[in-house]
Amino acid sequence: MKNMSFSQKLVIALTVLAIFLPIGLLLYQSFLDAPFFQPEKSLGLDAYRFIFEDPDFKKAFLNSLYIALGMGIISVPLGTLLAFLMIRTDLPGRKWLEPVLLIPVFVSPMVLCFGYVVAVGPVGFFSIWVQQLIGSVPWNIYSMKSIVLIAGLTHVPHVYLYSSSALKSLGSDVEEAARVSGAGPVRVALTVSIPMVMPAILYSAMLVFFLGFQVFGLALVLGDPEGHLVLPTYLYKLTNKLGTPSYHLMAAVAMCIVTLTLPMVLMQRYLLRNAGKYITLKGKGARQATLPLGIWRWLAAAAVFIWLLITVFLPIIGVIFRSFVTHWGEGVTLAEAFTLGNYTSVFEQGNLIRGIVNTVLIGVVGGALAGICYTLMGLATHRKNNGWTRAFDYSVMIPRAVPGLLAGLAFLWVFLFFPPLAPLRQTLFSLWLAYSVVWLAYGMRLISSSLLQVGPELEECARVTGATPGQVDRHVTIPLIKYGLLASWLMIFMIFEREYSTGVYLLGPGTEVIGSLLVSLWGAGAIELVSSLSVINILLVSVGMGIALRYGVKLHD
Amino acid sequence: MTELTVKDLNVTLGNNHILKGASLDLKKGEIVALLGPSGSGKTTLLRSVAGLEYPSSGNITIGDRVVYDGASKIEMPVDIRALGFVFQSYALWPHRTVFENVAYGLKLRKTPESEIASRVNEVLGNLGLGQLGDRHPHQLSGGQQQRVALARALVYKPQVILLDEPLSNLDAKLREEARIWLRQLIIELNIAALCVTHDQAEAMAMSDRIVLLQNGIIEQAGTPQEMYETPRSLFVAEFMGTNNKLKGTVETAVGNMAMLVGDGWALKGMLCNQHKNKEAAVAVVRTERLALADGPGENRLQLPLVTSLYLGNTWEYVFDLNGTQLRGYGPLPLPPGNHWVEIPAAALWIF
Repeated sequence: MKNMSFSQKLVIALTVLAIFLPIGLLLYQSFLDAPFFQPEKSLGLDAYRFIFEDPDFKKAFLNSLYIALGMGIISVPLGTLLAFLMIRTDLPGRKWLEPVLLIPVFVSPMVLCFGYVVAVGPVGFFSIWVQQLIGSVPWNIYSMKSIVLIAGLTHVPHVYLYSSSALKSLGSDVEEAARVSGAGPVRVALTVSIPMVMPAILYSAMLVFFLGFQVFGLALVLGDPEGHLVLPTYLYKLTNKLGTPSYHLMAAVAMCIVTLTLPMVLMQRYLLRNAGKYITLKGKGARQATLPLGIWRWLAAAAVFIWLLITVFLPIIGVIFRSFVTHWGEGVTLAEAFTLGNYTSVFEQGNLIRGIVNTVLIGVVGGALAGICYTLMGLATHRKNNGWTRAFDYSVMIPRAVPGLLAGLAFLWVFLFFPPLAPLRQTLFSLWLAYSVVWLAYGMRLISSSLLQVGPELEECARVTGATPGQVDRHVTIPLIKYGLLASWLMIFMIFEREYSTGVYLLGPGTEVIGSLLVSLWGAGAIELVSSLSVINILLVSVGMGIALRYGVKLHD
Repeated sequence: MTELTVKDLNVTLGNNHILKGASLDLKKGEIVALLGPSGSGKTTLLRSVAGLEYPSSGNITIGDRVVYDGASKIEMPVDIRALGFVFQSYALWPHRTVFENVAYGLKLRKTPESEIASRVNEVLGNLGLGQLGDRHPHQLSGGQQQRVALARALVYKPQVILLDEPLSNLDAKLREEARIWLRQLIIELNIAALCVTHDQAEAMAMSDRIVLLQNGIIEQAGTPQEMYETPRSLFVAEFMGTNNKLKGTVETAVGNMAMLVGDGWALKGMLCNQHKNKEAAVAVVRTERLALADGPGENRLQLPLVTSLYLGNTWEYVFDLNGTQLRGYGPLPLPPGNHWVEIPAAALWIF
């Protein structure tokens, strides 16, 4: 292990510990027949036996599979098409569309789904308007089909992110070479363009598929009224099901979810490695010719607009609208229902104020600290290729396979299991640690894409000139990626503002954040508070987006 | 005085044996060029000396310090080897000004501020960069960037300076000027320089000695004249200069002379390898040694002219010898048709 210093090994060891300790605890708990803190417990497969015999578990699994497949079928073609329209054609309004498209990535699904309920739910304002217009509401927002459709449409941007960066790096020259060789435009698309972006499409399909198994907020809000359970909501409901802490059952369900998603995450990483060969194939310079759409231009614009209307404007306008009215229904006018009370009542409750303050803190301070940690990890493995770093590369992917809800649960147990850590459980530190580990893969991707832009000879030259490895990091590498690091901080801020499921089990006095408060208030039926907190959450994310747009921070690569 | 000694150095990367036992030494005030095709291990050798690659065995000594020894497991880290290194891409730090780039090595050596200023300004002045200290690298031309990279490597007065294709990013005209002043500068400063290049003309022009590598092995080392005039192998003969290549069989070998016989031709040449009678062999003739002749004679052939190319300072003729192209130079255009050419026996090297 030459050329790795003690501090680098320490960083790697701590990271590996933060990843494997909670998962190890989940695994251990799943093989017990009682919660780990009870004196009487024994090892066994009872927990698995119980859930496998539970018909609800089977239903939840099938629903999750249905959602994952449906999401893939809807979002992969639409996301790829959207990327093509945005990158390679003269679609009108491409400049301002870009940030709007990404809103579903940065706004919590809890908020979006709540927006759907108040906009197009049975008594939603849009439903009532349609009812008045045509006499009935031709949709049911709580059906399984609606859930899949909404899940699919809100994940289009995830596919767009990967397809568009692949399309961007694909220079027109390779297409022009095919055209000159005598291929028509359709043949070029089929034999050159699509095969070259195929790895990115496969990668995003894999991503959407395992995100499908992690869908929680959406299923909680839209699936609950008609009893459609998915695996994460099944786990969430287990607490109430038996009345006693059923940690072993929860752990067993958690392990089932991880078993399903982990292979996909690792497969994704494998695809990414294979995709490397296409990078070397990309044309010189990414100069791109845009394809004139002709009269299709406006049709395409209309299609994109309808998608935006359904996935972005409808739910967000719904939430904002609902936050300013006391109640809504047939025959209610805006004048009589208008109120600011939803907001004033938020500021009358200590835990909600703390929630808002904590959300800002976890985003700004926590985001900065997480960014520093990710940078240290990135530097510890930067340009080193040995057993440690290879194992590390795969390890940081593992948290992706663990949905936030489970990660929060696992960290709760870590704090309960190790008494010296217990005092930290009631502090924001516990939440910050869980957030940082859940978003580890995302953060490391941000940092390493900055690090990869530093030419190796700039660092080597500093070494030859007489700088120690630490001096190289401080004097050359970090100053060179300074702007990349600031941009990463901003991205982590937005992701931390959005996060809702990780805090659910860690929610307690002192660790309230808007995301987890939304889940718990929704469960309690406090719809006015949910709507005003949602708007505040959207505002916080908008601040991040505003800064990003103002300073030209790219929202994706 | 020997400043750098490399003994039997081996470098492996995975299963790839990149450098297979290279040895060389470098004296004060001397420039040695590491020459070879891409993948020959010349850059690996240079980077191993700097400490940027990790050899598997051998020995590297700089001055009287052993910086690497495979047997006793000595491996001095890069930063304390105190070498100068000029990278192919120059590797100027874009976030620092020219002055700060050059001053960095002195700062790391805890030189007092006032001394830093005077030494940096002195070296910038010597390299004709006096006015450019406040600029950032991206505001400089390619030639200026190259000199800043050199200034940065020289400012802390290393014993040995390593140059990795230092001229390859300059355009052709600038490159020819740069190799003159680079050579003069190194001789003036009286330091030892090891320079990687893939251009044999550049290697000959710049260096006192050339080390030619092929597949991780040193094929031949010597002065530019030795390398060009007495190559010890076909590879060296072909790598240096522009050449004609003839395939035939060796006949009537007498001493170090023999006849090379091909399809309808026979030429007398020097035997550079041991060959049995009737054995297949390859002969190399430098293009400038192919001369026009006025009529038949010894080692003369009558060949049809394929084409003649105008190169400005000279004409290049291309002749056809039963499918093999033979090239030569002359001052005048040639009319189409058959012409007599002569290849002196001393210029026909049979390998």
